[in-house]
Amino acid sequence: MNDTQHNSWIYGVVPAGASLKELERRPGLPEVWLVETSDLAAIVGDEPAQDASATREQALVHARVLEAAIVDAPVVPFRFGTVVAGGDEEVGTELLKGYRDQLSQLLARFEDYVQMTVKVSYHDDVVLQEIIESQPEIAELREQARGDEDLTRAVRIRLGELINAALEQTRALDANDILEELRPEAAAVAADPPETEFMVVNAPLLIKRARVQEFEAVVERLADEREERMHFTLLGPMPAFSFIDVQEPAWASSPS
Amino acid sequence: MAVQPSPGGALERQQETSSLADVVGTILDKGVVIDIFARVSLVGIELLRVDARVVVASVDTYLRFAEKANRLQLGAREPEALADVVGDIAGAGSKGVSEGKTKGALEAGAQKLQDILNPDDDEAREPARPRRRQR
Repeated sequence: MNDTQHNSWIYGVVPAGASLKELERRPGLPEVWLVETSDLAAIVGDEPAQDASATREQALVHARVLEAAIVDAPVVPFRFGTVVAGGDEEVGTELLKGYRDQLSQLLARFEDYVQMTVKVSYHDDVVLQEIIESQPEIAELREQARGDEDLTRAVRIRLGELINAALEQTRALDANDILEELRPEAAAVAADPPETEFMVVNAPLLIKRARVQEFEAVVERLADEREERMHFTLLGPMPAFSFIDVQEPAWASSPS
Repeated sequence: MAVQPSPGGALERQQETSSLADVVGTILDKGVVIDIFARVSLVGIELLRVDARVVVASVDTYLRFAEKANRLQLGAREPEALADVVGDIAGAGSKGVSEGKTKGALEAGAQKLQDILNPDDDEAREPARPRRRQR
């Protein structure tokens, strides 16, 4: 190993002595190791090669290592791309000892929680059909829009615009309805922007670890009730990526 | 830890992040930052940011909606085939980006997404640099 240019990739921090059985067991992960001090341990690996493909792979790996770790222990997830210049010794002294108080506080604060993310998308043909059938103007424009592409361009833009407006409206109603059902189950809810045009809800939720199964049951019920119009995906448990967003200036100014 | 699908099977359960599309939304620009340490300047990180672009309605969107509405056979409520969805993703990825370099990378990203979406391709789940392991 070339120590002069070596960086250590930081996945996250867990309590010292944590037995990360799932991380050892789960296939398809790269080599990672723990750097421990008296009460904290960093999950560390090598940094990826400097090219786009390796970066994409590392993004998957970063998430999957932390997902495996949180099965067995509380985890403070580090932002993708964080490295410590140096090897295990620097990780121990500069990161774990240098930030011991802040890291310990974060571990304590999120100890009992995991993040679950609910993603809901419309079956696009179903919701389009609803929109066309419910709005005579859209149905009319749709008839006019058949034929020569150049001649009907303005009509088609207007048609698409109206569909978009109708979609926004129905999305707002459905999203609100779903989030109202989820909110009582969660300690906190974040609303991420939709990833695709037909996405309804993209919500990371902070869930008590002990209540994950109850939460899953609620999401299952919502998915079953809405199966005709929407598709539900539930991701996690994962570390509280969307709820631990701490920058150093905030640490400096927050009371301890 | 394993969870059985609900009897109706309506809920898709993902306990491990398996697609780049999901991971970008999950981890990019999230998690603890310690400014004192170098954030490695990864070549691909800007491309990940492009992957995470927020959907903004535009004329392109409107024309695509209009085309979708025109193709729709009213009364025939069949879910879109996965191949069509992937086609849409690949198309959306290369649309509206004028710089050749970025476009190429985006197409590569869409291609990768296709690889990951293809359940027969076990290699898509392996990391880029498989470690030598004792067997």
